Amino acid sequence: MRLAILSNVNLDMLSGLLKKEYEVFLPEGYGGWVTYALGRREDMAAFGADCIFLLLDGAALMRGLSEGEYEEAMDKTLQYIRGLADNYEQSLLFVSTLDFLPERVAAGDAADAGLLAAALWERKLAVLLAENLRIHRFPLRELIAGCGRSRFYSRKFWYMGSIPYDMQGLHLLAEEIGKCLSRVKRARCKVLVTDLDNTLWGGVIGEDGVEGIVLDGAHQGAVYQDAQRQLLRMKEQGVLLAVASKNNREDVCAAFAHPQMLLKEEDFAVISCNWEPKAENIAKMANELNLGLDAFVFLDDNEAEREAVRIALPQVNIAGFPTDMTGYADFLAELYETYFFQWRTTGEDREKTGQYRAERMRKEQKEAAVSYEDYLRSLGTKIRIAEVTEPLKERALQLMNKTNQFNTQTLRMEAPELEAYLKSGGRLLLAEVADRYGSSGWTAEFLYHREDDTVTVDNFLMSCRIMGRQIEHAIVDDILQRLRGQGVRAVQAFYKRTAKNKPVEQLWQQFGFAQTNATEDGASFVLKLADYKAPPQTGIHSVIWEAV
Amino acid sequence: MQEFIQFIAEILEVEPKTLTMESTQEEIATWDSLMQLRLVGEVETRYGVTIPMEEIADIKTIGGFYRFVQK
Repeated sequence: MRLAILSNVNLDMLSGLLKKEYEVFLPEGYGGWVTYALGRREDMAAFGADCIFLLLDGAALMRGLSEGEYEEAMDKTLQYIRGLADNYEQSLLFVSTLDFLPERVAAGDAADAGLLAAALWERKLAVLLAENLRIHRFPLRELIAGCGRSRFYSRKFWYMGSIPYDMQGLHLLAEEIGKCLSRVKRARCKVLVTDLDNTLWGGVIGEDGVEGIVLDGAHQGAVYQDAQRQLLRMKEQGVLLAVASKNNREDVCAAFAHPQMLLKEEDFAVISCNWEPKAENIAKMANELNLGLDAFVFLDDNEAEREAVRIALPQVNIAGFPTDMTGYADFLAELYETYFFQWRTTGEDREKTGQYRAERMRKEQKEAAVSYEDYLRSLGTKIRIAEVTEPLKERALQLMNKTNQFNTQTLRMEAPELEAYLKSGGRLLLAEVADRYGSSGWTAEFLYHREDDTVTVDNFLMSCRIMGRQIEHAIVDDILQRLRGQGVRAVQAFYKRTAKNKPVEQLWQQFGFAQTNATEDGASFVLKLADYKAPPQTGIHSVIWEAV
Repeated sequence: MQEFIQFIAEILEVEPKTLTMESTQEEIATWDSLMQLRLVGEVETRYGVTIPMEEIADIKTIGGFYRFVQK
């Protein structure tokens, strides 16, 4: 990128900072910018800047003038800027907002003259932007406000070199110019695909229920409400919002009815709630919306989900996630600036979601092939299975009493019942799951008892944190193989329907269990171990047994 | 001290090995009057010190800047 810096103050040092990365044109002597406006000058024309930055210092621009003369001076400056835009038609022109360093010797009732002048300049600049699409606004005043005037300005640099800004200010200016240039180059993304649990609200809707999720106008719930507001603002800018969530559709519908939920279903172009890998859902969305994958940005609090999408769909832009949730709204503002920033809003932007929703209805769904297996392998998952021991009992009880979604029989127990169960020959296995992102702790539980050569599964459950990675295949497969080794011939299992446990409705069939009975309340299954064959891809995760 | 030289070398865009505390303004091509001001600004920001305006012109060596950091 080639850029020119014009200013009414000395910004040689700024161009020094920028020269490391860009070709920079800086006219000899500051304040000379007006001569470039009065006529086309060959030195800058020959340089051929992609972008011209006109950075005007408010105080220097108005020096020696009384407040009554400001407006006239501004109008004259705007005329020069029009000339500048006309003389260098090949360049984009960035014009700064104005900031005024207050001199502070004034009575307490004196109005903020700098603020009034800055506001007047904004109004005039808006007219200029409307006239000419090649002129953009450069937010100098916001930059200074964000840093603080006492740090941005330097009296020392001013007196020594006619440079109004301190080193820190100059670095920030260079950074902002860099951002502008990257926005000019970068194609704007179109779709923000967002997760729901712990992303649009705190907590897990499938576990905590509508009353249990954290979402409110004040306190911690406001973190998520503010985040939703940022998403709505993006939608106003023509960003398409979409959901990719591993949840039951009914739970999500209930969440949208939450009184503090600002986003409504119709704010989203697509809502995908299922238990398929998210990459598959995003690939489907790209197909339905007829957009390239590089137009997608994926937002999810779960690093494993982000990595899965990154591996399966490398073209998709993956947003990170803040570690400190108080910074969530600012994080989303930066996400907007990085991926969705646009210089001007059009009326069409606000209609966009509705258009895409309609377009999607017209198109057929097609399956998109993505390598889910590669993702699973990349995780390097290690599962450790152990018989319950005294120190693990508390965790075992906690897990079985709060898990709703992945829970075959939803058998709840208190401590004495667990003791009785174990005394009567019941067995309780716990599994700990770790992958390259860390350990999820003891998050799966398998209860069974044996009579002669038949084993009956009394419950199998897993925390929703480890769902969707075929962990259950590895655990059940390993247990079945072991039981077979111990001379067990048949395994009985059950599915007991609850409002929440739809994800495990088809679980036992995946291992070749035959359904023996089915009612509205659930189903019974049996598997002859001699006929057992592991589901595809079961060998991906490694499993070890260990006494704890 | 080595870290300081490294820091200054980066600003002057020269190899750190070519610099010592005794290196002077005349020896280094990139060290002009504007760079002098920039060095003041960068040292003040990084080390949280103040270099008085009237002393800036008297700083002729890298050690001259280091003196303020040590204070």
